[in-house]
Amino acid sequence: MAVGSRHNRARKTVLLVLVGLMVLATLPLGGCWDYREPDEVSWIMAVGVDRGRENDLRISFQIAVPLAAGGGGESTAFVTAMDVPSLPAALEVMNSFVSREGDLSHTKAIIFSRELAEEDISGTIMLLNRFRQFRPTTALLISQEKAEEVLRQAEPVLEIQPGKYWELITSGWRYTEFIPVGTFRLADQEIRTAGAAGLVPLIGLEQEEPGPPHPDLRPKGQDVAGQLPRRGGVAVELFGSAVIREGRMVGTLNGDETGIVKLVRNVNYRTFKNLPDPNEQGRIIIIQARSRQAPRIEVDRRGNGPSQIRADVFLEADIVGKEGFTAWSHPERIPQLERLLAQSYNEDARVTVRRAQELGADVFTFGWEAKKQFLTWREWEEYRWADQFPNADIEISFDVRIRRVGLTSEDIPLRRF
Amino acid sequence: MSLFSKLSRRVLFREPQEYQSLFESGSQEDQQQAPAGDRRQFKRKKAETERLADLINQDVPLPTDLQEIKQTLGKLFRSPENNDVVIRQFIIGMEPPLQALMVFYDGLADKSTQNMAILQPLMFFPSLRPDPGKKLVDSLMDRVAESLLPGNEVVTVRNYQELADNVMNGLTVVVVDGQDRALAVETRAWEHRGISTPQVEAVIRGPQEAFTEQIRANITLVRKYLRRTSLVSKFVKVGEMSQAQCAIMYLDDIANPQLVEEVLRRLQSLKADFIHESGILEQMVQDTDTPLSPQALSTERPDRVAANLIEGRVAILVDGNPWVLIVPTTFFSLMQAAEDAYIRWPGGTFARVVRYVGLAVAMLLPAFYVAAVTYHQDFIPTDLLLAMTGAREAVPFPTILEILMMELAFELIREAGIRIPGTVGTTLGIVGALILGQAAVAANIVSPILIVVVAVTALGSFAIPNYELSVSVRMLRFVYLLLAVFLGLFGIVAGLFVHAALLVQMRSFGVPFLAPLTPMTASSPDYLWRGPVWQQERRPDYLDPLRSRRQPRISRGWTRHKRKGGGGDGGGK
Repeated sequence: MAVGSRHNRARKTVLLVLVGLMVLATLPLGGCWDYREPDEVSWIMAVGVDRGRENDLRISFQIAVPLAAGGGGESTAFVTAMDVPSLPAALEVMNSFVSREGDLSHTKAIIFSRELAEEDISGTIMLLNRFRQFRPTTALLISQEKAEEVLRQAEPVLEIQPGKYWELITSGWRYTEFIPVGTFRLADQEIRTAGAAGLVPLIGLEQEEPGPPHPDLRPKGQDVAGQLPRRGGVAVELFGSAVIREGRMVGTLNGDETGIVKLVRNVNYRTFKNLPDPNEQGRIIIIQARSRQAPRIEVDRRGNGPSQIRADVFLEADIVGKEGFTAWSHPERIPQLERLLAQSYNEDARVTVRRAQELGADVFTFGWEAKKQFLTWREWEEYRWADQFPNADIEISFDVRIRRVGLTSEDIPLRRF
Repeated sequence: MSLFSKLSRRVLFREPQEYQSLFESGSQEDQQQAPAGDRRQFKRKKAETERLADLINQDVPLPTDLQEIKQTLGKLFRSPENNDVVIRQFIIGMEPPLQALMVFYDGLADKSTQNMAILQPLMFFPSLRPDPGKKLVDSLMDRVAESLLPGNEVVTVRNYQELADNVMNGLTVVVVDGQDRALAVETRAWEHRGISTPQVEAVIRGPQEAFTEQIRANITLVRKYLRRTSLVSKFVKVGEMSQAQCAIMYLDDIANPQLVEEVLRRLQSLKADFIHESGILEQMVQDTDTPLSPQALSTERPDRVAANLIEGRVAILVDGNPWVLIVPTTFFSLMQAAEDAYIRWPGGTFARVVRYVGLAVAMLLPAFYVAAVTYHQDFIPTDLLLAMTGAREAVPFPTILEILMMELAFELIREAGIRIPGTVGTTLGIVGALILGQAAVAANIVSPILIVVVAVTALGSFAIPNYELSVSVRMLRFVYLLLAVFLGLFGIVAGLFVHAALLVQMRSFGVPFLAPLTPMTASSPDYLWRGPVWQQERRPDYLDPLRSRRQPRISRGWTRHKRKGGGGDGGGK
């Protein structure tokens, strides 16, 4: 008995060791195929897509130089471009002249040139949608100039490496109404959905020649990227949006129009309004407004004819400052100011609606609301929203409330001697 | 086995007198045949050793002849080669005078007690308080014990084994000529360390007493906390060659009797040379020999032992060792520290959460680093990735080699740090770690972020309150490192899966190691989170204690009084 159990124990030990070795032996079967040191990879920060000269597309990569990011070194990125049939092909071709394997998993922005976008970009978007390395949160931009040129000009001033620059500049939609939300995922969704048009941030290069003179007061968002009256800083600028319908860019919205669309879509966090003071010529009141509650959108479909669309946007406003001496913060004057603001916004909205109907693009995504009126998908498709939208009767009305007037209730006027 | 039984049979059937002749003849043989071959001498020595061992093991009664006893004791205690033992012959000043013998170990027994309590009364005042009612010979030993020896503990000894045990425990044995028994007088007074503050389980709030090497003192320290008549401390001798004095402590009215029985069963069944340390004892009584985790909680804090006893656990104390084992132990008790309960519950819970984070970091951070850097670079924020890539540009080794080098260097520093003499140890350890890390980075052997990873891992391993668990985790992190380098995150997750499965099937004295998490059993909020003291209403259900409730549902009577008065909402409803 004793001998037997000792024998068993020895056998058990041998068995355990064998099993252990077998388990260990399976580990290398994984082969470390995916084992890849980070310094064996070239990290692509931004991708540019243009119409090619010797092939269908011209893909340019902005590749980070990690030594520079780690400290020291002048250039933090370089741009390389190649004519290839598709984006993944570029990754492959790139290996013949860039020493490290290209990787898109840290790409922050993909830029299509307007020239290409006006033809068709749905192919590349569909392709990227399945491409594993590519993140759906990457920003999608459309540039007025050649995308390659934009990448070359994008030399960050504040940031060490360009990836961070792209990340921050494309999240500008959080602070300003002039830039739409521009992730690849959203653009992809809007492009694919029947009944809505996509809004993509418009990117341009600083204008070389100053625009025509205009000394009087002018609304601040009347431009698009590439026309901004500004000087200095990074040559690249984001302003306004490109409207994408059915995978094709059909036109642009300027900054103010983009702002209205964002308010209706309820993605605007904050907006400033320069309101001309009705009591004092040439002076303005500056109001900061934010959404008070989600907009109420009602779509009334009349048979198969054009729909009647009514959108109520609710804003809450604060008086930031005023140039004049009228005590707008007096309780009895506030309703007047609220009315003035609403009128101003309504006017802007009318312009935007007219523009959207001209382009035939439902940038407000009213279509998603209209869809609910149909019982079957087929009915909805047969209604052909894109064709009906330009004829729809659209009314966007703003309801503005001023809740706080700030700490100053009344100003002592400046004395002029 | 067969040799042993033959010998013991031979011993059993002999009269005590025969032993004497046996030894005498043996010694004569020794003297005569000393120049014989080494091998024969070895055999003779071996046979004699076994005869002496039998003398102790076989309950050989004491002979009545004093000279015979003296000679046998001389052999037994290896006197005069052994200078520790003192066998002193003296005369009891009775009428007629009686020959007597005093045996003790110099150093274990206290000399002044001997003088006051044995030698003086026996040599000078034996005629005090004669007992006329009894016959002299019959009552001689009783009279000596009852009226002549003023020691507070006097034990009658009837055989060699008892005699030897008592002498080895520091008692002084008095043998009187013509008597078949001897008397052991309490004279214990050996050198020992005083009670000091806990070295390893130090707390800021809470008692500052730690166990010492004295089992008696240790038991007293626990008894100070638990003033209950039901607190039992039962002595068990463990081991064979040198028997260790062990004690188990439990609350008779709380601990599950089957648990107590099981602990006793395991302890009494041990046959080993030398179990003088609770770590060795732990390895002898633990359920499985897994490297994953210890299965008994060792602590140097009496308050912690008391707290565990009152939950229904059993403590095992080993003489000569300040570490006390608490069984059964679950994973969650290994991650607890005494202070969790002493500070208010949010702080205790926070400390515990930090500790669990430390555990995860110590075990998984290097593996996670390797997996993220070499397989899943998309995890890493771009800025960090580029900085890491840049820092790695000049490093010639793959990441796994870098981290293995640094981890081994750290293990070296830790191992060497234990052996570096105290005064320079800490400084040298810090200097070694800092300079080594700095120089390794400067020499482009490793990337700088790796130093951070290794340092945080080391901190994490020090946050684990149980030393044995921390050792296990330190080893396991290399296993996870291996899995990560071959399979990335998938490997780590697979490893965690197997790890969890192994932990789930572990037992500590029959209690599932992950109780009360799995299997889910009732418990007060005190395993993952530390709940408020007034919520600690139940003893752990997995211990199946005799009393399961610790305190009533409303343990703070004042909250109820307040409600009676009409104000407040109390806590009762």
